[in-house]
Amino acid sequence: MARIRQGALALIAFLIAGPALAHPHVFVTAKAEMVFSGGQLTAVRHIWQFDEAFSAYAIQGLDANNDGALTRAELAPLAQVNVDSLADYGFFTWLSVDGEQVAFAAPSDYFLDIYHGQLTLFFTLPLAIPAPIIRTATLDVFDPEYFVAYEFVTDAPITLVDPPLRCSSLFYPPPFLDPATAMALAAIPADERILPADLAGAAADLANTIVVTCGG
Amino acid sequence: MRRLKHRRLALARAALAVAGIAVATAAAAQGPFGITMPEAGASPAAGGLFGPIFAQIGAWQTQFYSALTDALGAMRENGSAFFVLAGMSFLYGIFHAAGPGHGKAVISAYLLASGETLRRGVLIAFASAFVQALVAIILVSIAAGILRVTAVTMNEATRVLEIGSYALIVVVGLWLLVTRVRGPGHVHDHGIAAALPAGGSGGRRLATPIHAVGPLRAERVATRDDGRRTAHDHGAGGTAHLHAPDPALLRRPMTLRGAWTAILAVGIRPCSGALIVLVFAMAQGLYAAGIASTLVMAVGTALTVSLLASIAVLARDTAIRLTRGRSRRVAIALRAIEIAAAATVLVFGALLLGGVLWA
Repeated sequence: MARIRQGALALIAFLIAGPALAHPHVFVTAKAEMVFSGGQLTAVRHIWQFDEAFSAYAIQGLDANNDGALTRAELAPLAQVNVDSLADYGFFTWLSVDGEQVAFAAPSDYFLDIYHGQLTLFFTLPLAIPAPIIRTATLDVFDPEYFVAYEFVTDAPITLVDPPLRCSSLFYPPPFLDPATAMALAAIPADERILPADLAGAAADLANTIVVTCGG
Repeated sequence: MRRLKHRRLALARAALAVAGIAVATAAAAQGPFGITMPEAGASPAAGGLFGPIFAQIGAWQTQFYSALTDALGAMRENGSAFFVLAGMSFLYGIFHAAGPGHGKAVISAYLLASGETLRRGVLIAFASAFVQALVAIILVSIAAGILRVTAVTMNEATRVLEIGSYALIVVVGLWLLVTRVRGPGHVHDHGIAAALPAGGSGGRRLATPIHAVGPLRAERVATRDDGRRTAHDHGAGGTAHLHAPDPALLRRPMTLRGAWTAILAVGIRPCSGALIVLVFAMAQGLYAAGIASTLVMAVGTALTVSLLASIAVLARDTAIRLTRGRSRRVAIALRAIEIAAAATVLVFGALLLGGVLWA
């Protein structure tokens, strides 16, 4: 009898916990900039272009003058809602410099615009305290719940603005994009991954990872 | 001792899972962009043995969704893209429901707790999927089509429906728990007289006509059971006088009203994907295609939820069949499963509701 109960409980736990599955309803094509000043990393800039369907959903009812075009001014309230809400999600941005997690200040210079019919969000995340990169910095951009699917552009996914000469960047797309690669990577021990330890685990497979190397 | 430990472990895991969802929900009240919300229960990847399989399901789902929205876009130039749209909607529905979400968890737990038959379980799964589709269609038709609201307003409407959905889950859980705990009388040993009638309860229940529902049906089953028993005659009395721990009675089907409450609890919160597809279709001037896509999606979703719910029901029925002849212990075990499932629905609903109200 205990087995029936146990089985039922396990089944319930399985159904509720839900496997790792996800259902993205928002697709973002992204690119990022890391901004330096005086040799220190000062900010991360994001450019996120939303997919056509989500764009149509997001802009419904906003064309106040019905001219079929949306200006930055018409989109400003939505941009405000976007960054306010993103704060609850840590802006889907995780940065560590030389192994230390770095905090961000409130976002600045945010606005929405439309390019090729697709809504595009621009915003800057200043570092709470500018940080010099002695060896490496790691920037992860992803939604661990995978409601939002991030895909970085292949052409220049990351730009370093005014970096120290010794710094260079590399972009690692999430293995999830290619199921075959995902399978192969799943067999690799976690400690061989280029991911911060605090993000280790399956969720981190979704991360778009940018590694900036400045020495060491 | 070991069994007890296992059970505790399973309980602890269930509790952890529920708590995890509540935390995720609390942080996600308005969604990451403030205009569309992830479904509660969409927890982060669990990894483990099945990680790669789930990653594969997720990848397929993503592809079908992209293909679906692409097909909608393509219909502007080419009407025959509708068939691609329908096909992708169907596949997306199937894989979407294989993902996380409170819907199928509530339906499965409801079926375990209420003792619904397999066939009614499938009907409930289909009804909830179609209610969900219809709610999305009605919401978009009124909010976007007539009132021309913004996405922020539509999100607020979704939030109200979501709160209603979670409140109904609490109601269903509470009601299940009260009826399960109160049960059809006390349990004591009747020896051979209490043994299951020939044929086993599982088989008989599956053969019960689908239109015979509600208290009426419970009475009929009770009457028939008692009629078959010569050694232990209770007459055709009401359930209050029954004290045989007969699993068939413990698992008497719930009322139609109960089933509809569960269906609405799951269905009135529209899926973000359906809302986006509908608004997108409307913006393209292809609203009819969007409605068709949403309904086809519901068929796919219903199939997956039916499958998962059937597994739950069949697993229990099989367990009962295997342990036939030990009716008292079966009855107690069943009672425990039902109470656990009812409590799960209640706790689940309470956490979801708390998460969305106090976020």
